[in-house]
Amino acid sequence: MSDGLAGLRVLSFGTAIAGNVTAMALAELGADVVKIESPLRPDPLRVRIYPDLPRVVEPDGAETNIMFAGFSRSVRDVALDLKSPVDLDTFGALLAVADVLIDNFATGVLDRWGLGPDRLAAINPRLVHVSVSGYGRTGPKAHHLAYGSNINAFLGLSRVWAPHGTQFDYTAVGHALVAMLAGLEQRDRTGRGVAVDLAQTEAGGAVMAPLYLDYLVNGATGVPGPNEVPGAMLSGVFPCRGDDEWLAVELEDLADWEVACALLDRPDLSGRPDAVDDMREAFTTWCAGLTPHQAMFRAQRAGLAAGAVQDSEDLFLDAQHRARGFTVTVDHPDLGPLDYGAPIHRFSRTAVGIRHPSPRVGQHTAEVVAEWLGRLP
Amino acid sequence: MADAGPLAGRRVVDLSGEMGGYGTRLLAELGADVVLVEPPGGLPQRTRPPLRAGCTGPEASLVFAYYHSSKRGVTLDVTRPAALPLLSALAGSADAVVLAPSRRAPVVGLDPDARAVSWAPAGAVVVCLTPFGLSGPYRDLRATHLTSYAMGGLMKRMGPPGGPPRAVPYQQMHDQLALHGAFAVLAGWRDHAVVGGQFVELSLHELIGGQDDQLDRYAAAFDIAGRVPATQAPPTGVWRCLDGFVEVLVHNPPHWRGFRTLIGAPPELADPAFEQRGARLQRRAAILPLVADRLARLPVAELVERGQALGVPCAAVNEPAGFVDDPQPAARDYWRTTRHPVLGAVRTPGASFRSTPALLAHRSPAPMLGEHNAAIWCGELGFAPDALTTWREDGLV
Repeated sequence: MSDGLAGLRVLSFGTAIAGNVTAMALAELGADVVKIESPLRPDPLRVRIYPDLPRVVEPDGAETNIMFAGFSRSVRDVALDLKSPVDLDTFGALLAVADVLIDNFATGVLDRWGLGPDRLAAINPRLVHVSVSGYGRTGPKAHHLAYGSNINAFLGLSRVWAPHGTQFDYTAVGHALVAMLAGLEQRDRTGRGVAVDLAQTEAGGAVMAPLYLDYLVNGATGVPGPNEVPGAMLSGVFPCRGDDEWLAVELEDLADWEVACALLDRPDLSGRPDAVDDMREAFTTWCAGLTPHQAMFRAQRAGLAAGAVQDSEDLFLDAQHRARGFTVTVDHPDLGPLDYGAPIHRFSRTAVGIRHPSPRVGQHTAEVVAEWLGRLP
Repeated sequence: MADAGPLAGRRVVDLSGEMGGYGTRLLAELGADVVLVEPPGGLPQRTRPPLRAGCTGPEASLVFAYYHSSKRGVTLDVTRPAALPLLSALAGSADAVVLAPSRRAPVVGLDPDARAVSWAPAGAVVVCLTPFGLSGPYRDLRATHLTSYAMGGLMKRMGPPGGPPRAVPYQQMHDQLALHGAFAVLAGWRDHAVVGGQFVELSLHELIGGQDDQLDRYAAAFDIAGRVPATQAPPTGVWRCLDGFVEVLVHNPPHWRGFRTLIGAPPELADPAFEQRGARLQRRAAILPLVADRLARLPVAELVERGQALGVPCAAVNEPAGFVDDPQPAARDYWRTTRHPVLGAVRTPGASFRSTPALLAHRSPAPMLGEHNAAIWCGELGFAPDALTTWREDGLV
């Protein structure tokens, strides 16, 4: 096995989900990822988000919680106050020997510290800087603050789907990871650094392209209804036995339609793919007496694409996750042992895994400065 | 305009169809030579709406045209053993192979237990995308984007409280998996000097299950999270305004102080305790009508501009067309118009990310069905034109 991205030095100002999860994914593939955190204003993700869980404080007084712990495993933590000239110097020294810088600050924050694009390039001309923002670093909304839910609304998803807070953080993560390694390829070929301006609204728009194409090309403003899969014979969720229990089903083509007729014992619907309302009714009747998992396994055995609409408890108990060892326990010094989802990239020859629990603020300051710079902080 | 791109000279064989298409498209935009391998009748995605108005047939889908632009394309029935020599030839000089096998579309030569593909060269990075992974009790279950989202745990939190849960439309979870597939290709290449080729497995069920701290949240308190709006601390959420809707996210005390100013600093909300989300959640019933009343008097554009000036993360709740017509993407020249031989001018989202220097570029329109069969099978791989004719008659190509 190899340590994958070992030798790659990454400095991350990444906060919230988009920044932290990107940094964590790199660290779990072996990169040396150092989270730079202000001792005065630690990562906002550390602040307790679930009022029902106890407030947990690190020995030095900073908060931590399960969300931060789940999204910032395996990175090391260096505490620097960039408003202090001494710490700014230390940051510059670290940056000079780094390969990658990640940030998802509001537009203008780096400039205020004197770390605009020209300065970064002067400190390290080979730097790959991945800068993630809501709307991009240029244009009339460059300075707009944006969390995932704001982006969801702006893109039209709150209208056609639901208000949601994190969907477009995770799409940013995937793009940031690709942009970073592509930037390193470019740097290795040219010897020159790369600056990436990743707008979550643009990356989000790219993966939601089918939602816009009809308007962009045909000028049509129609959008699919709830759980409607354009092109499918039938798609939707059906209430099952119990409260708020559902089965998701999609009949992709005529063959599926015929299988459904047999499964639901509705030979009268055979060869009548336009009888969608009747088929919906048949599924509703059939599901009413079954649990979501009963219905899923029976439909799957017949050969249909069907899935129980699982909740977090189902997921915790999920036979597939348990069989594949996806749920792993990490013992955190302040939070105790907790279960997390393991890294998803399963390489046959590159070692991927959780290196250590999420760090305390400044936990590795002395260690990283010594390793990277050969001196005391 | 980017030059040949950072991946110029890299070759990728793409059997990942609808599930992996977004990731291989990015590799193609980065300069790799990506060859899409489709069944002889074309991918089912070729009929996926929306279609170009007035168009029918295998080139009509705007979705296919978008997801497979910048690639070349051949046809081959990869479920049949007869495809093995063709796959060996095609992949012979490939640096990466991306697969998305399923019960309906198996890939010949893939040994799921050994995590190996017989026809892939030893030095290639092979990335395998599946709904559930290549092991475990669910590995052979059928799945679509909708059912995967349902199984993954996120869907149960989406939609109206008490009403049916809602899946995110279209295929963005597939695209997220595809992005991680592209990342795995690039990471595998970085590690190539040390380990050579390798096999990478990615499960959509794990990608979704790892999001939104679902597992750790349950493990921490054995609480089951419900629909999202029921658990928000006000004023986070969607609000009706004078001429539309605005979405607000108030996460920290400065956000709250800005928001309070935005709605005219009502004395009922003056208590500094409200800076904490917990306090606002407790007094939710009292806060909601007050906020609703203030926001209902103001137009969306003014709210967003003033709110942002006060440091409140907020945005207009757009229709999809509202995003397309917004000045921000226009100012950044986001939308891209390209020409397709059948569809004509096609306007789509442009580069997924910007960079200096530019790394991504549109290279060519999506391949027409079997467009590069002769050029690749015969021209590049040296098979006789007669063989191609025979394969066609046999339904292999």
